[in-house]
Amino acid sequence: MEIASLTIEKFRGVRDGMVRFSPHTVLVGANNCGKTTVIEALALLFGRDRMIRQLTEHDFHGSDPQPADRIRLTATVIGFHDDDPAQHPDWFRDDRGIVKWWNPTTGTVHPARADPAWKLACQIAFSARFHRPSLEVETMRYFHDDDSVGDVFDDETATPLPARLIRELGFFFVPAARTWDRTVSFGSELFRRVVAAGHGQPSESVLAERDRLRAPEARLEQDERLSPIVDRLNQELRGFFRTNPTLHLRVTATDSNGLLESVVSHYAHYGADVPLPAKRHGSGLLSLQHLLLLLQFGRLRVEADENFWMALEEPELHVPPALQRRLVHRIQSLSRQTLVSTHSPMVAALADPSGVAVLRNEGGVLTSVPLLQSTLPADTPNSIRKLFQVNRVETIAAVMHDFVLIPEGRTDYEWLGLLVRAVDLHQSWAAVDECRFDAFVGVIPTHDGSVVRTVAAMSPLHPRVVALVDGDPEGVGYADALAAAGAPNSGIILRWADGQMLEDVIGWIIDADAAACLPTIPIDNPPANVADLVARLKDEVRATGGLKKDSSSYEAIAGAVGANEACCARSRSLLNAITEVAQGIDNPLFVADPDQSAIKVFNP
Amino acid sequence: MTIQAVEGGAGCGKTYRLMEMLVERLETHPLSAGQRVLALTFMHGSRRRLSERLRSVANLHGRVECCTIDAFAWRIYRRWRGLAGLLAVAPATEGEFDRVCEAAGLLLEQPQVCAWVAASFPIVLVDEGQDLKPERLRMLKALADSVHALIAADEFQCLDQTLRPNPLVAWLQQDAEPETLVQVRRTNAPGLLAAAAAIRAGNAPMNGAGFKLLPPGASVPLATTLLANAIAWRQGGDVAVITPALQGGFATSVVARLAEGPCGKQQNGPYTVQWEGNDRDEAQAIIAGLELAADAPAAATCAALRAMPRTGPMRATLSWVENQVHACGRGNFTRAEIEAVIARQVSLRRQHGSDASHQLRAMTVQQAKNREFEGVVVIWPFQVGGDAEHRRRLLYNAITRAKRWCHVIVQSQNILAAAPFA
Repeated sequence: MEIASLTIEKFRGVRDGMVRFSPHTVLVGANNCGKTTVIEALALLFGRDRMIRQLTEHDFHGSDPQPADRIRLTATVIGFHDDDPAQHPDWFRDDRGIVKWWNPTTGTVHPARADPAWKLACQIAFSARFHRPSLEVETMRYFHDDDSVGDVFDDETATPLPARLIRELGFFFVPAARTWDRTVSFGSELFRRVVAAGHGQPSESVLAERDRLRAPEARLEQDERLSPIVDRLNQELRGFFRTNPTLHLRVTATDSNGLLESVVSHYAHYGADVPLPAKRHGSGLLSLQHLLLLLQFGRLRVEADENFWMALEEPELHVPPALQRRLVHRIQSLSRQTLVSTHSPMVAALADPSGVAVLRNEGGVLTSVPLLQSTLPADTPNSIRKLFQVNRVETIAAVMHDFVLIPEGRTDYEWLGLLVRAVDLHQSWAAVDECRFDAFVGVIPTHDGSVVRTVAAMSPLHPRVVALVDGDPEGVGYADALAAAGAPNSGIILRWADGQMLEDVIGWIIDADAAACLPTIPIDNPPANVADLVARLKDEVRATGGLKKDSSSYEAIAGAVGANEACCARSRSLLNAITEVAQGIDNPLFVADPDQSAIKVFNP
Repeated sequence: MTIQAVEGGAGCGKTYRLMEMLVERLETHPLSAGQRVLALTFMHGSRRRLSERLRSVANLHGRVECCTIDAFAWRIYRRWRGLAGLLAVAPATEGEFDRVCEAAGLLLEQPQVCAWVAASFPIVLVDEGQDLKPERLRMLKALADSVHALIAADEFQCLDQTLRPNPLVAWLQQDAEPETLVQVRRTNAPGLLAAAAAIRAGNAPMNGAGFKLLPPGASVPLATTLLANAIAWRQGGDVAVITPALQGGFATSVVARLAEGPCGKQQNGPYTVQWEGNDRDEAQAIIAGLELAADAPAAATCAALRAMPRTGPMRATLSWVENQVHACGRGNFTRAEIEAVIARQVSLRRQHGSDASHQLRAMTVQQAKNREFEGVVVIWPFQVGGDAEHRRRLLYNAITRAKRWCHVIVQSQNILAAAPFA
């Protein structure tokens, strides 16, 4: 069984939201967009009782729940054997769920099957309300019959979801806060269950250890240094208590509970003699031990043909990229269905692109847009293919920003990145030194000459795509084509000044303090003046000192720009101008084209 | 799937035979985990009695769901509302019984719904099937395709004039092979047996051991005396005073008079005979004492309800109002709404409460259906409507409630000249 979709209503930061899941989903998105909310929603729906913490007013959207306000989470479960309800009588019968059908193409649920491709589905819901007189939150997990059924807390009886079915679903979750140092210990329920599932007998071991602790060979109270004091104490006690109590010192409270609570896991690297307690090891080991133990549990379940779903927040925590890769691949191959939420474009790029979804929360409405709806059609040009394959990491990273900037080509992409770094490395506390470009604008590594197609490919993924084209005839052509098509969706096209390209803009930046800056550029044959530099930047022929597509030279020039205060300030103003225009704020560096207001022309 | 049916006159042990058939079925097809037997009846009284009988069936261990067919229909409709919408069924509320049953019939005809019901209830038991109107019969027919159905019916006990010929009995005779039970077990008083047989055959009932057709008591005092004497000479056991019609008030006057004082030469009485209330009267009685404006804010409503005597329905109504305030944020209530809630709570309590146990009770023939008493006194006024067949059925149903004796008091000589007495 797997979960196909989840709708969220009035829960935390989400007023209304729908997320679709694939077998191995990876959720990416900006901070606060709702990644944790989605996982918490799943925990409330499918978590075993221990996993559900008490809800408070802040869990209701708006934080001030009125009597009629409800949190409602609805999940659609599919993946029933043969799509036959008769084979799943514990899911589909009078006191359980009713039969529904899931349309995989549109992602909707229907009461009757109109197409053999539709899959058998069961809908489960969770609802909560705030009871003002007692200040408690009342919750209910039930089978969701139909959207028209009213409030489950108002007279209407709902069919509750029994705990046994929840256990059968096998949902497990590893949150971002990985602070347990006692996980691999008998005190941990997880550990006990893993051992029990693997036919271990933890109870007998525990009892044997308890007995040993009750009657240790070397009794502390008989130690030659302690025994005189103990004897004298015992003598005193005799004077007060008829029953002559005597002192015995034991490790733990000598019952199984005390023993279980006290066991601390230790690890020894390279077979060292004295193992160290888990807490003293690096964050990586600490972080991973719970996760890997859970994986073992999952493996046992999958081997027993039981369900195992895993939700994991931020696999990139505490481990280097190679291990992040190993982790993600491991959990995806060992679980029936996984959900990973991440901030790392690299982790996101590891997954199948159709499973990667960009989560966005706009004014309380949560949407999840898959990076790739399905496999790219055969006639997709290479320029677009690269965005989702070779350059997947950069594309995902860009899409996680508030704005997506699509320049004309690779060179522009490189230069923007270099300028941002130069400016950021030379910032100070003064507010005027702040550059906000990198925080808000993500840049796509456009393949040369395909800005229009790239805009078309990116628009479904992001609501605020901005294009940046050259001022040469080709660039103007692109701008017109975009404007005619009503693209991009933000309605903003940036263009360098007439006849100018990015290299001319670099020249303008250096022009702020050309005399001081030019000599500091550490390349062969430093240019004598700005015009010379610009010409060389546009020239590919290396023999004549052409610098086009020479990344190390680019870096050198950018470094010099950053080091020079005036040039740095000019770069900063340019980057901030781009940011402001993208946000819809007027900026003197870009002036709207009188003929087409969507096109903003650079005006230094 | 399969249908097993049993037919027979009143008191022949149809319900008993149903239990036997159920046990046989459970031997060959035991219930799996999560499955139960579904027992459907038409009225709540019979539902309770059937539930009692089922509790003692071996191998069942209480895994039985006893439901009125209307309540079952509402359950199906409520859960499959989405599908109902797709099939263009107009929305119905819980109180619109016929429409809900029609919707449920339509839904049960869908294979996925029927299979879903069968997953939980592989065996369905129906007692008093003759009372099922077409919408309800439709539900049963749809169900019979997927479950093992055990049905008991007796055409002659159907008091609904629109169900002639009886559709369920016709269906059973066509699609199943009903067993027919003939031996009456409820009573062995020869006079009662003969009278019942006579009425069923369309002949005049005659006096005999256990059955007495008393001389007409046209006046209320005379009728009261006859009733008082009957009660006095009953030699123990409970008595039911049954009347086919309350209109005209003959029966009510007689019973009222009986409570006032001793009657007749033997000075028997007074006897308090408890009328079986019906929901409406009880609800009206409560509502009469409610002091509430037509439109009132929540606080005033709660205060008015708290001022009433703390009976079950009142407490339930108060709790409903409080839930509406705290869970739904409502601030005002109308009197009409509160009255509706009270009425509903009264009927719910009756549905789930137990039969009041009084030795002397009075009720209509409808209320007496499917029950039995030691002695029965039938009070037959002028105003009994319907055709000859209908009146025969009314009389038959009334006198077959008796285990030991039955007396019939008619309001005038003329009545004796026509059916069912002639």
